[in-house]
Amino acid sequence: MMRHKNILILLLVCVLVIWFQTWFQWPHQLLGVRLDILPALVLYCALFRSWRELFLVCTAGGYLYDSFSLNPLGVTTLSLLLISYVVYRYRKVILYKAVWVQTFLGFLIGVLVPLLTLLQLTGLEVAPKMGWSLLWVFSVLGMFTALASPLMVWVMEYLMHKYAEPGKGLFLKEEGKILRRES
Amino acid sequence: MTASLVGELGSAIKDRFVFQNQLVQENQLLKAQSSTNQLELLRLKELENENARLRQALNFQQSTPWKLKLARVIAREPSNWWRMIMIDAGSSSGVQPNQPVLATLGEAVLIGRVLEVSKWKSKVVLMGDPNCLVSAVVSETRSSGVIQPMEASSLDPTSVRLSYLSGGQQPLLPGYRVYTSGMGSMFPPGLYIGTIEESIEGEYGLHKEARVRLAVDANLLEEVWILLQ
Repeated sequence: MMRHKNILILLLVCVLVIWFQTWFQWPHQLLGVRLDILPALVLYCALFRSWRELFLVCTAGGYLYDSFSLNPLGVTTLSLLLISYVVYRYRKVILYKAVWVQTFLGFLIGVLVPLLTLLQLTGLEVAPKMGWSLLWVFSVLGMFTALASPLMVWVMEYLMHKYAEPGKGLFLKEEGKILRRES
Repeated sequence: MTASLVGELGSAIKDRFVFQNQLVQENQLLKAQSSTNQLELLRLKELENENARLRQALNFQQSTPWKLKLARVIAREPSNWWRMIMIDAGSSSGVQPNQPVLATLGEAVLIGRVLEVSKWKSKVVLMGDPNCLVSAVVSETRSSGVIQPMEASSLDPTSVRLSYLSGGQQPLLPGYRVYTSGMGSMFPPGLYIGTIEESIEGEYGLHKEARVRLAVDANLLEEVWILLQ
């Protein structure tokens, strides 16, 4: 039951994130860039949730995103899965509970996910035309995800603690504490 | 005598002063009423705007010879590479792929074409997207060309390129109006597109180009027209 609650919350946030992105235009009017919140949610899942939940959010979020976009279905899912798997794979060896780590990873994932998506799109018959303005787009996306990631972690942890049980066995070591083998 | 005087004085004081808790209650009630009124005011303003838009739309429909279908924008492109909106009209309303999509600005303004249609909704590619190339003509010089996107994720959503311009040595001045030419038969001729902002020399000087400012920022539209016939 608790597991179902976790999944329900993740899916609900996923839908809310996509709805926000497809409806609100003021970030685009202000910065000339459409902000993407989904990578921050995926980063949270890669750092704190199980691989099943990560896979679910990447798949559901990616497909939902692509269905509201001109992207071919599955392009975003693949980008999210590839990048987040690397983070998930090595999360045991990073101080993932530290805010600065979340910020740094947020920047990386914020740039790499759209970059990977764009690279996939270049193979299409009608591909987006590249230009220098992409540098601005990637910078803004990176900085936004860097800021949004710790916030997303805080919000999601709050929601999980309030409405479902916190994930078990995920907090492998305390922040800043290095476990040494006794000689 | 004294008792009645004291009584009168007491009632006068009671009339002048009210209890704190009564004031607090009244204050809370007024605050609640005020916020309700503000919400109501916002709702009414929104309705007023919608009314004005729909009135304008009705006038537009009556003044054109085409068969049109009004549709509401229900979602906008979330990525930075494409220009697309999703509308709440699909094949059940007679919408088909490649039908022109218009906005009103006193006259019919082309904003894009229908790309994908499902039963209840459709995807519309906007001008400036690589999937929406439009054959256009400059009204003043009659030189024709093709409306193309500036580049992916162009920061200015109302800026496009008019490429492969014909028409010899006639200068293209800022402010010249650009319309659909009707070539290619996808879009009828005479639909307003925008105005020329500046003339640019094409690659290797082989042809002329122009930067065109679109008449409407389609990302801000809430209702659009689909030209059915």
